[in-house]
Amino acid sequence: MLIVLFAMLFPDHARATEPAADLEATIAEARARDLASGAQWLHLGHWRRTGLPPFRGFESQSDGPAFFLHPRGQNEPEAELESTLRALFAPPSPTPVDRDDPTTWHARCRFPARFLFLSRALSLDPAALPAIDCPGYREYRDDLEADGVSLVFSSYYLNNPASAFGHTLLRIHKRRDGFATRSDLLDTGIDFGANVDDDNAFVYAVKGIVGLYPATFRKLAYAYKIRQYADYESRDLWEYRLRLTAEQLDMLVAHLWELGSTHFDYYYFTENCSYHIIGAIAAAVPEAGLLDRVRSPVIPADTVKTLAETPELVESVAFRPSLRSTFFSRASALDDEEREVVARLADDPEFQLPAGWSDERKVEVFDAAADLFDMRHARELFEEADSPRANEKRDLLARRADILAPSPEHDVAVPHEKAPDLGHPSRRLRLGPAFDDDGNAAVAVGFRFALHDLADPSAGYPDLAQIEMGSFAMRVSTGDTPRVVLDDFSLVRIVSLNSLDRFVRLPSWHLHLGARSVTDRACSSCEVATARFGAGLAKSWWRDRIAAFAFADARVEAGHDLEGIEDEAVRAGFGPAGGFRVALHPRVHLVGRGGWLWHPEQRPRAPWRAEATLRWALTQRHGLSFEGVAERGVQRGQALLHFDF
Amino acid sequence: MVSLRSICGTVAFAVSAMMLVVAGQAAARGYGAAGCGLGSSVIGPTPGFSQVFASTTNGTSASQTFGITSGTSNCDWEPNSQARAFIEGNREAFVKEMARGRGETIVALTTIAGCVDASQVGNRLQREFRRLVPDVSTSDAKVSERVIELLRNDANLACMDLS
Repeated sequence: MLIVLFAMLFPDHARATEPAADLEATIAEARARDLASGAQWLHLGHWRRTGLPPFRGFESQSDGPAFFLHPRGQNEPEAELESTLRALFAPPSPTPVDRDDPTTWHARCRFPARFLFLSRALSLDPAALPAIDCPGYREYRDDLEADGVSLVFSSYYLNNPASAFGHTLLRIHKRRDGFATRSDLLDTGIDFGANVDDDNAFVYAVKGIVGLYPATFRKLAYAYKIRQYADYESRDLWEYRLRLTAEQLDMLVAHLWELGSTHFDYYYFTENCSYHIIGAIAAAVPEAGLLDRVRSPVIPADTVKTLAETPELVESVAFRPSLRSTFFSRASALDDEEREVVARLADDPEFQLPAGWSDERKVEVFDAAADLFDMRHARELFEEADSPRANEKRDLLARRADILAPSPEHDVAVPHEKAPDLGHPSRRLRLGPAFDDDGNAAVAVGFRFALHDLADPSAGYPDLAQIEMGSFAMRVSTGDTPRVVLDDFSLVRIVSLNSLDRFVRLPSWHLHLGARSVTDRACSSCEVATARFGAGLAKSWWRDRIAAFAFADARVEAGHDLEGIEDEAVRAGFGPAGGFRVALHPRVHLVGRGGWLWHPEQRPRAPWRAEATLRWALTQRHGLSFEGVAERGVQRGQALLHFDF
Repeated sequence: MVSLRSICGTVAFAVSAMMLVVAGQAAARGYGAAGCGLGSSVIGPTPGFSQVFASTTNGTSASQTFGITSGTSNCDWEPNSQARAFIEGNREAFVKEMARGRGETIVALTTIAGCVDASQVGNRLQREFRRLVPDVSTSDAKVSERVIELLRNDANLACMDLS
């Protein structure tokens, strides 16, 4: 009807009456073929099935009203398809087009991926459609010059919990024809993230969890992402280039444009960056069923595994070393004297080099020193362009530039075993027998939502880090009166070990928030909430195969039956803790930990605890652990089989 | 959507408080799309390089209606804006590679400026390092201006895409 109205108002568009006949036939055909329930259409609208039979329906995860042409489009893919067809056949609107407001654009400029799909599926005749020019979309495509796409995984970064699980984004590769030397830095990045406008961290935290932030897709120079992740945060980047046909790539590029006009409510654990990045890829390869295989909570590395497990989807894997990896690679090629000079130069840019060195040798130490300097002072250099540090860096670089020779290219060896798709799956079930020194037997069970601990095989994960979320360990005693004991619940447990080194002296730390059963004189087998934090030092040897750590710990526990400070149900203690980790084999690890906490004016005054785990990963998903725990008056051992999924 | 949210409910609240406090601070400092051409990371409202990064935080907030933009630069109308945006946006790495006389930022700039040979460009920038970056009070804009001027005026480099 709208079209007829337009035709009446604007006789110039008299041809519009012709397409109208085509339009009704086209809509009828789309309906007859049920295109609206096909995978491609559902992926383009980000509709997911919701509810249970017989109340099954659809809801689009896209939350921006501009993403739908039909008023009930968010829940009705079929109505949206019909509205889309009508809009595609409609003549250009007489109202002026605002370049910044997608709702003023013609549907063909607004939804090029829908157009692509519908014209392929329904063999639309371009001549039957109005001629529309989409300058914005054209410029966008010209700017991308898309030749391929990679999913980029930015490695684990424990110093910022929001990034502790890693991050993913897309890189659109530019065509290289005619530019033999064209750099990666000219490619385009597509990122998905929440638009945060609160300064208050707590407000941010709560809103981030419950989905109160709108998140959008953003296009930016890939170089900035490299600067942010590889330089500023020193995180290695892994790039999984996808094997897409020209048509699939076209579809992806068009769909990313569509996504620019909408937002998604951001959920830190589920509908997060990685989920929607996969959702965008899935729209280009709907038949791969990517989203059906992504499970909650969505861990970025899991989405990488989802791609890697899809046959024929990943074409190649590239590694871009972080500043930190580059520096250590440079340093490992130097001799002791050179390393000493590098350390001195990074402390004092005026430090005089030993006499008689060749230019080659000087270049090597200056180049390593500049990387070390950038790595140590990344934050200050980025944030304060004219700080004293920036001055020192400038002087160091000027001395390097005085040696008029280009630096030799430095290639960092790819740590193939750290590719994120090689890691064990993130969820874990455990089961096995447990015995204590009184001869009581029990069945130990455990579950973990995510992700990795120090005794796990380190392929795909950092060697000296542990990050666990939502982990439970229980024992069900098998005696006459079965009893369940909660050995440990970890809401979150993080261990971040930074080996002390001539060049880097970062503290190590650990954090545990959760609950456990206490079996000392403060109460007999009562459950308490526990919070423990420790900071200290760590040292590793032999390429991280052996590591030892020591912390100063503080712990607060509270529980209903606990006898703590002045008969309150709270106790607090502090004291030393420490441990070691030995990689006997990439799949076999021995980890020991112990601690002794002094509780002033409380009973018991000094509870201690020691534990050890020997774990053998039989396959990528299965493993066997032998674990022992000793506390004052109690000793216990258990053997557990685990299954990761 | 409903089914996907369910897991959060159980663990969410306490984790949110603890885990994201630090995250919140990092986020408050702000990375996001912004700016004159850069569509870049925004790090702090300080002068110089960060100023370029931050030049418009107005693009970062939720009010931005269209995150997938068509151009590389919102200042496309200025001469050599792409080269300038590149130099200023990659400052720390670029200055380092100038001193080294080679590197991927030099290769990228060579392509943007349409010069013939990246090793020649690197050689020239290394030779002029002390003049191009006399001290840190030199603003990023000044550095990029001088670099572009140098490339443009050197006939041997034949940087055809600079105006």
